[in-house]
Amino acid sequence: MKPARRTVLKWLGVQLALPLVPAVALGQAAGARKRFIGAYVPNGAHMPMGADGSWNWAEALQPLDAAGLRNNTMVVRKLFNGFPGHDPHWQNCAGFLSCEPMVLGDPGVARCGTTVDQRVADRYPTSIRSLEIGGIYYHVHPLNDHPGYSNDYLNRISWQAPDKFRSPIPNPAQLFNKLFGGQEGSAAQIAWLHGRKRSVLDQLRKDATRMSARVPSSYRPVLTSYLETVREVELGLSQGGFTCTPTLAQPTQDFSDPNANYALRFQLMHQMVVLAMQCGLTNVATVMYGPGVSESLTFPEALGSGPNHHGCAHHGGSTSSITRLKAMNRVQTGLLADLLLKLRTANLLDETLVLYGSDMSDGNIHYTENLPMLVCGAGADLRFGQDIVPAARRPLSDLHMELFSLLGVTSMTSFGSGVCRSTGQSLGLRV
Amino acid sequence: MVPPPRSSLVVLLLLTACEGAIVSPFTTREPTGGGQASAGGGSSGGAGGGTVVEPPDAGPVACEPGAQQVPKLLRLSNHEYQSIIADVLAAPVPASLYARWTPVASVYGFDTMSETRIDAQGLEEQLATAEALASLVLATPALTAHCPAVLPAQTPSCPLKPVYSSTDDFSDTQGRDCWTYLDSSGAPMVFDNANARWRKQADQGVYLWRTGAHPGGTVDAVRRWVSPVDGALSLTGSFTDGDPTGGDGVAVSIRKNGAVLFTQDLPKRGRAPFTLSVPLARNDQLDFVVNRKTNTSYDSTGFTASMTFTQTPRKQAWTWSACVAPLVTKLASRSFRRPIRADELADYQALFNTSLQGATTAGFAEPVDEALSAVLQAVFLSPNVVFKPELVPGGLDPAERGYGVASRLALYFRSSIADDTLWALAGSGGLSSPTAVRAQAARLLDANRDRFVHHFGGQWLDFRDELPPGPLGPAMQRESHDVFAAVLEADLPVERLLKPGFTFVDPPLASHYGLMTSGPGVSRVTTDTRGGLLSQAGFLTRTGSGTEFRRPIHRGIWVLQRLLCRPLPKLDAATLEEIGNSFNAINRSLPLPEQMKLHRDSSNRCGGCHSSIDPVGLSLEKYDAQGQWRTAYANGAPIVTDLELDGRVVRDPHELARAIEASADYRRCVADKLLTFGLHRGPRDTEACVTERLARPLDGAAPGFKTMTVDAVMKALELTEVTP
Repeated sequence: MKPARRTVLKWLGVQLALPLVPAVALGQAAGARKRFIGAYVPNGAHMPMGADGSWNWAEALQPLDAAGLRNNTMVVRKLFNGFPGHDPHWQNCAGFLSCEPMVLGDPGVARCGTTVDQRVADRYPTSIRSLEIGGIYYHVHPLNDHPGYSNDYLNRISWQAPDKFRSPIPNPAQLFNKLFGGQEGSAAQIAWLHGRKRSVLDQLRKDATRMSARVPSSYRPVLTSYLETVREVELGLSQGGFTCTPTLAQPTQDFSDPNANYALRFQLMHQMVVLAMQCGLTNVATVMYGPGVSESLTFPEALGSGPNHHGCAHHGGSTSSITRLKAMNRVQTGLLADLLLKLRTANLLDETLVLYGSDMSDGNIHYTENLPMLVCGAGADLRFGQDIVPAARRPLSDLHMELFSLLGVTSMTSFGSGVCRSTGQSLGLRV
Repeated sequence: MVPPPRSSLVVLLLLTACEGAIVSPFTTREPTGGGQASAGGGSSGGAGGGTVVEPPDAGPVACEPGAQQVPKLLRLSNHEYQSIIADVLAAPVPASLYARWTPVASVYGFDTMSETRIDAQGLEEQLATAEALASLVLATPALTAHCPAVLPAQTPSCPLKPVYSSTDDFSDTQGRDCWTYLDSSGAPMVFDNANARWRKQADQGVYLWRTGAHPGGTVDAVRRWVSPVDGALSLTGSFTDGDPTGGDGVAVSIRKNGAVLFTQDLPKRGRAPFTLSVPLARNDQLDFVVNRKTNTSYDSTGFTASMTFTQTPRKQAWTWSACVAPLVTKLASRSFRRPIRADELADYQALFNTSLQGATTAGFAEPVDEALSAVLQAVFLSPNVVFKPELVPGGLDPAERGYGVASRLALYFRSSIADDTLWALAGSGGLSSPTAVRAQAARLLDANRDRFVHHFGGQWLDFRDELPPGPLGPAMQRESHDVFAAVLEADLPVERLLKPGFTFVDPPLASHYGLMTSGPGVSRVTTDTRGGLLSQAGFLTRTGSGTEFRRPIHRGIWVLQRLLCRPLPKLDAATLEEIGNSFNAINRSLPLPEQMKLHRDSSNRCGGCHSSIDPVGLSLEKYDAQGQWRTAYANGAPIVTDLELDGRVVRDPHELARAIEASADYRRCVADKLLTFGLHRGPRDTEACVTERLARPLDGAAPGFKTMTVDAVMKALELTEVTP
């Protein structure tokens, strides 16, 4: 019928697809921030017993410094996250942007809380609600598994609602198709194929509605959730045509192994996310540079063979593991630098805030105090280039509240719950 | 509780020793009354002093738990879905089509009873898969053999494109874009570069140029278009008098293979527009002719034609009734695991018809393919396929009940749809008596042994989804499968899984074990030292990876959970912190058993569970991380086992196997797994007696593995019977 899909759009060979339009000319207040990217790395850094350790400009953050991004970064310290009784690998991945406890018990059910990125998406809606990118889904070894913990908690940091996670796209080719379309044929044919997808979804909706009417009410929530999913995919289709032109060819490399093309995967997806933001397709994204626990990542391309990320984090004092862990941290901050440089080249950095952080500080002992957290962007109104150190320990949700304030999300009066609830005090990111 | 000098594992005291323990609901028991388990419920011990487990009362009148239906609307696991599609299509489906589906969670040890949510990204993946499956159907001749003949493929006799234009296509080459330039005698013209027009070899004043023509004194100018394939041409254009100075005008015509379709007299200043639709066969000739009338004076004639060509689809005869309805009925009914209902079929008909119209208008070469793809995608992703409504009230009409039974049996034994025999019985009322159902269960077990072993055995004992590390991994995985299958086939007692007396190895694996094997490939070898669950290298290497510490702990946990169904409490915050602290405090230079003892003794929190786990794992230390036998550690330190399991002394792995065999818990655990797999939910406390009787029937019989399995699925159906 049809051979493998190829894009009909041409290779442009230039870095920027759109002319640079100063924010002022677009009728916005200069420097008004309206974009948010949340980026997660698992397992913390070498921060013995929660001390600052290697989380400094000479070591873990060196790649950012080398890229000239020191004055675009605030290092926020003394933040904590997590709930008693919940393994922080799972909890502080699901809780990274939600500060809510995971619901435990049924490994087939994952429930947490609405995350920061989704609140920003509500405030600045666009045709694509938000973009989630990440790596290959990771399952914990069956014998390591906590019974009652869903593996979904390790593989998602974005939650649209407490019962609605948003899964990351692991493959650059898929992201390409989502943003730029991947069909071939005439304009009429492409439009019809779009419509066909909608017709299929329509039929699925009918089937689910019929089934829901037949079964007792206790069985319906699953179908209601399914109907919402169908509707969301349909909404994504209703934007007529693909209006954003790619500045790269559709990726064709193999990304099926989480450890092969590790950096390339993210570099390509960074480029597409930034382009999508330039085109106004979305204002919000989240990135997982690894899943929670992250036993699957070994970084062979950057570091040669050796113990995996989780194993290095639980170094037990081994110097070789500590050295390798520090190198892994730098691979990942290097990716952050790549993202920030692309935002800067696209002239988006002063309208965007990027939060980069981890679930633990000292991963060796699962320590959740003094979490490594960076806030990146541009603008003279914020204390970029400085460490932000509150007088006493503060919940991570305080940082999220401050980000809301900086992004013009005024609807949130507090964030997080229980021991992770925000205090209402500022952290002092503003000058 | 002070540990006795020899570690004892006694069922009743195990869990009370774990301090601060809240039983995970997912460790085998659901409280009476069904639904979600709550902490501290039921018989499996609990916080602070805990409840002691009473042996189930196996007295003759005590076991009537009543039915409790499956409490959730479950999804097919990815494995079930893939098997179903492959069986429905009766064609292999490349695994790569499912590579990006996220896994479904394992609940109670099996991935067949989960509500794992499908989110937007997940649905996008499924849509991509469904589209590929639809293409696969169209490329599988057996599935469309019943459809009317497809018109033979045609090679275009000249370049085929959707739009032709007399002006845009004009060129200096005969035949380009299907245009030829000739006169009415049939003689082709030649191209005059200097004047950018066609003329006769010996110039006679007959010309064809980009925008017009001039007839000759004895012949007409002919601009010819040849149809590349069968199709329909829709054309509009006009002839216009090009030189109004004088003359008697021209006569223009459009002819198909010589027959006139359109003709008009074009006087001075005349204009003859035309709009035509013409069906054409391959190589048919459509001529645009300009004739002088009586003289050639002032006969320059403007000419333009713009044409859309639609080739005749090869599958024109594939209508809904002749082709699509039977195909969709079959595929949908088998995938839904019940006959398709009238309203569903009507929906698909409407979808097909609308899609066919739209695809034709959009100019697809084969609109039937596109329309059929729409319907197939809707079938493959239908909630009627992806969920398991047959397990819950309202999912099936009373008349469809037989299909519900068939589906339950098929999911249990084949992890897929009913085979043709079972399907026919479901439809004819042949599954309404327990005798008939039991007979089918026995038949399905025999006919699908490999699938059952792979999905049930492979999930219970971990050999399905996790390949053991190393180059011998596949052979080790196959060994686990083959031994399980052999014990099942021969209806041996389940204890023989621990000591079968044989195993299946290929030469490299045999050499790994130090066994002799007869020839190349896998062969069955009689042996007392290998083949049992504890001596299979697959188990030993999967649990052997990681630090030295992890190995006995993983092995201990596996034995306790998988073979004895002894639940372990979940880790609370304080315990997690202790793990972190103690991990760093252990002196690595000590022998492993001593390191572990320090760890256990460091606090009650650790010792509570590890006093049970560690000795079991340590008793397997005579198998190293590769599963090979050793009598001492590499550094010469002796391997010491210090364990008493249910009153039996265990000094090495073989004695551990015998102690497990002799333990009442083992048989009951196997029964529990067999039952749970069929229940699609966790067993309730009130069903503990059912498990007990599956393991040890009241009549004193000792059922073999096959019999236990069939008994279990029958009980499972009974206990989850749907009440409408």
